Amino acid sequence: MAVTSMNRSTVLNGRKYQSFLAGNYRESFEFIERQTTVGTSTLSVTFSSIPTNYTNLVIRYYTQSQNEISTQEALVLQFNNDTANNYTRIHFLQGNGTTPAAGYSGAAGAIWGGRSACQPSQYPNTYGVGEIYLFNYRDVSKKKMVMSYSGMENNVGIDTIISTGSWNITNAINSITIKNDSGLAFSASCFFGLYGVK
Amino acid sequence: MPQPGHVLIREDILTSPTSNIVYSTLPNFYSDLVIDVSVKSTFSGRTDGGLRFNGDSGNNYERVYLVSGGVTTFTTRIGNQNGLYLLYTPGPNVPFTMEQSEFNIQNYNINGKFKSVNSILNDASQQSTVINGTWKNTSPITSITIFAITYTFDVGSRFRLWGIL
Repeated sequence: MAVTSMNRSTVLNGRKYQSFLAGNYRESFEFIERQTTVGTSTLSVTFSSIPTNYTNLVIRYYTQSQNEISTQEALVLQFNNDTANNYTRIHFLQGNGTTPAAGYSGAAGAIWGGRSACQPSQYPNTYGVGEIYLFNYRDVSKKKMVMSYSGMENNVGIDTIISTGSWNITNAINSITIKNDSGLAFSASCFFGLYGVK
Repeated sequence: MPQPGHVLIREDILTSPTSNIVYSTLPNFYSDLVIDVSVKSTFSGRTDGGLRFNGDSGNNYERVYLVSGGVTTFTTRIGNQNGLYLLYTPGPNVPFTMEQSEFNIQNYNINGKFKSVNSILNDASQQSTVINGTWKNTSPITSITIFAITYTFDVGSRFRLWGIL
C-alpha cells in the first residue's frame, strides 16, 4: 500500500521502530484473511490456509442469515471438517432486554459462535456482530476452547450474549468452517475477518 | 510480511476536563473500528455517556445490555435514544477507579446497512456489562463523538481509536 500521508505519532513509548507504522499498532495482532459474501447463495465460509505461527486466533464478523422464519439464529463453527458430535456446543450468559438467561448445551456437531440476524426481507439492514476467540489452536495436547461475545438488535431479534464452548479433540486446527445453524445461506455483504494473536 | 491487524489511529489523554472527544476524519480503508477507553467523570456520582455517529443526535439509536452487579443480573432494551449510551462512568467519590470499556464497530464504512456496536464494560468497583447497540442509519460512519452527559470526562481519562484491517 502506498504511503499517501504522514502524521507525527502521538504515542510516546520510547521504543524505536523501522516501520512507517512506528509503534502505532498492536504487534501481537495480525491480519490473516477476510471473506465477504456476494449474493445470497453462500452456505458456508471456510478459512483453510491458517498459519501455524500464532498462539490464538480471532474471528470478527458481521452476519445475516437468509432465514425468514426465526427472529435470530446461531452462527456455528466446525474445525478440520469434523461434523461428528465432538463439540461442547455452548455455555452462555444472555440478555434479551427482558430476562437474563444462562444455559448449557452439550455434545453437538458444531460449536456456537454468536448470532446471525434473520428475516432479511423485513429487516434488510440489520446484521449480527461479534468476536470469536480460539485459544491454543495448534496445541496438540489440549482440547480447543472457544469464547465469543456477540449481539444483534432489531425489533424482533434482541440479544447480547457471551459464550464458551470447546472442540473436544486435541488435533491442531487447520481449517475453520462458519455457517448458519439452520444451514441456510448468508445474505450479501456479510464479512468474516481472521486474525492471528502471537 | 504479516500485516498488523490492529492499528492505532489516535490516542487522547485528557489534561483538562472535556465533555466530548470527536473523531472527525476517519480513514475509510479499515474493516472495523475499535475504541477503548479508560475514563472517569467530574460528577460526584456516576454519569452516562456514549457514542454518536456523523453528528446525529436524533432518536436513532437502540441498545440491549446485560449487567452483572455482583449479586444480581439484569437485562434491558432501550430504543429511540439520542445516542448510543455505552458508558457509566465513576466520579471522584469512587477513588482510584476508572471505567474500562471497548467498543467494536463492525463494517463502519458500509453503505446501505445499519451499524452495530458490540461493547464490553468493566467497572470493577460496581458492575460488568455487555451491550449490543445499533445506529439505525445506513450511511457510512465518517465521524464519531464520545460524549458525557451533564458533566465532563476528568483529567487522566484516555481514549484510543483503532483501525482493524
